[in-house]
Amino acid sequence: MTADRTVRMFGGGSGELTAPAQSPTALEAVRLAKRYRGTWALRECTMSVPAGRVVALVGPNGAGKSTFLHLVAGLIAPTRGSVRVFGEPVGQRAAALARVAFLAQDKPLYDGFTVAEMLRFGRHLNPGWDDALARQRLAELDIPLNRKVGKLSGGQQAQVALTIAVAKRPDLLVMDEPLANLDPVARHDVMCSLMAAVAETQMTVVLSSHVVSDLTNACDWLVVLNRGQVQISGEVDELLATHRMMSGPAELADGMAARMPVISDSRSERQADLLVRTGPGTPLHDPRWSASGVSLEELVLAYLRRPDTTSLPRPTLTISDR
Amino acid sequence: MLWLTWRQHRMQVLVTTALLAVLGAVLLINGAGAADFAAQNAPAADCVADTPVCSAYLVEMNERIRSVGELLSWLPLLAPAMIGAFWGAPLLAREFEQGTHQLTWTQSVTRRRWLAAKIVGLGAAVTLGGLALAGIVEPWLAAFDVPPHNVDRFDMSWFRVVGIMPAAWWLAAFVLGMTAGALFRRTLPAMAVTLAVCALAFFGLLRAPSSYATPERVVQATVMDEPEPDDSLHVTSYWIDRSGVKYTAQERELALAGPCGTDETTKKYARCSFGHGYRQVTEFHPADRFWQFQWAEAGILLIPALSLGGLAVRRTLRPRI
Repeated sequence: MTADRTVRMFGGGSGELTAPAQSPTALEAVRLAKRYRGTWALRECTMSVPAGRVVALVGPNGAGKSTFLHLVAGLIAPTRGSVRVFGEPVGQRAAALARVAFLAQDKPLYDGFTVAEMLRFGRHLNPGWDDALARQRLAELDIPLNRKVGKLSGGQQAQVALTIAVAKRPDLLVMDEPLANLDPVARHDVMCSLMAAVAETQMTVVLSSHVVSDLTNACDWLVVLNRGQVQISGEVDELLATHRMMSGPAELADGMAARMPVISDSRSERQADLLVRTGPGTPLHDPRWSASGVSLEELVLAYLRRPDTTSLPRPTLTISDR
Repeated sequence: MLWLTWRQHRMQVLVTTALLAVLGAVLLINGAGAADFAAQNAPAADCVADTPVCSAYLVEMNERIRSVGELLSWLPLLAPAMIGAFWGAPLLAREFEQGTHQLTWTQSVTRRRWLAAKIVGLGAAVTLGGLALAGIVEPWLAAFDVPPHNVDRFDMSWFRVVGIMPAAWWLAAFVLGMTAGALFRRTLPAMAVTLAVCALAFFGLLRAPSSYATPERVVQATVMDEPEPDDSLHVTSYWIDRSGVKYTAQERELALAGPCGTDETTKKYARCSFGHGYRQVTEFHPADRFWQFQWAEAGILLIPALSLGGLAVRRTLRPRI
């Protein structure tokens, strides 16, 4: 990835960004907030995701993931702040609607419709509808077109819903817990067919889950939401490269903690294990410390356990220095 | 968009059409029978009411119209309630209940267009259905309107199954059901509320038409055969004395029992009571107010329904879930 893209995606502000044509911003939220009857589901949510990514949106239940995705899909309006998709504010215009496809958590379909009628629904409501793509996908999945949607299995219904979303030919596909309520085989199948569609169409995908392991293989961008705020937003490889588990003598831990941001800190009498964020080039001087990489799950978990820390990684400067 | 509306609501459209067809067939058979009978047996139009030939004809015609007329008298209550509950209430409530609004609202069609197609498409169908009902009832009524048998569409028995009344009631009930659905977001509560409001409106307006205008007033000082012109809507009749004090029939009977006797059916008795200064007052609406009253009631129904519906639509179009 190019340096300028990195700068942009970590850039805090929004207005001053002039996106180069070759790597537009797919999704940009600025101080996005949503309140339901006095409780804030989402507050001060600022992030930016470049086009062409498969974004994993993770966070515990009630973190505001669904609210955020509904805002992106235009189903609800923000209380404050704004969200833009490919530079355009989300809203009730046919052109804006056509660029985003949304797959709601329950994968709603009209139960009384046959699969063929669901395709007809998609064709009637979407000018960019790709009927050949839809039929080919369903044929590959062995889903009979004349079957009523309500009679399909949960996995098949998810596939039909996904097919409708993909055949809309969106630039951004937003999915709220697409794997919830699916058995392991169906999870695998849905994920595979999603990845095949992504490879084919180059669309940007945002999908949420509260199970990190569901998404680790598929996604190249990670956003962690916690208590209505963005805790992490960044490229997966970058995040893994800039976090280290440092193990060393307990008596030196305070000194280490003073030098770099500590995400998690577990100390026994003699040994301390610190999950720290390092700059890409930060050298490890002290031979008494050993450093090891962390998995994405460990990383997310460590952040989620410390929601109070200023944990939105801001390696803006370090990376752009590169 | 119209395809989607049709696909989602074709059951209601088909069932309503079928019921209208059945009703049409029943009315056709019954009406044709009556027309046949009238053509062969109708006595002279000015036959004297109590002669056997005249009363036999009237009794037979009354019998024929009563059998189907009783069925029809339920329609002004049942039909709008059913339209509201099955056409209107599920329109939005079902989408919210099953979450399918999240599917439909994220296609490339704006909510405004989606909702417009549904409301305009189904609203037009409902209105046409109501007009069709009036369209099949009116020829049936006409078949019975063979003198000396008289059928009058201003009569409250028929007022709400002729003209624009069915269409106005149906459309108002449809909009009401849609509004309840948008408000409650659940089909069953929306249906229940719609049924309740339809019943309230029906019973509330049951006797209302006579107050849609100031009635004409005829004061009889001499014996008149028919103080009210043909086909008018009777409002009330009562007696007054010289000073204008109102009397009910019973009070007048008591007062007159001495001078005029008790046999009220004779013309002599009537002349006697007029002679004592009593006047009979009759209030009625002449037949040419029929359409004025039809539109008045349509306005009473549609103005609140459409205003509420407008609010519900605005609420639905606002992006909030």
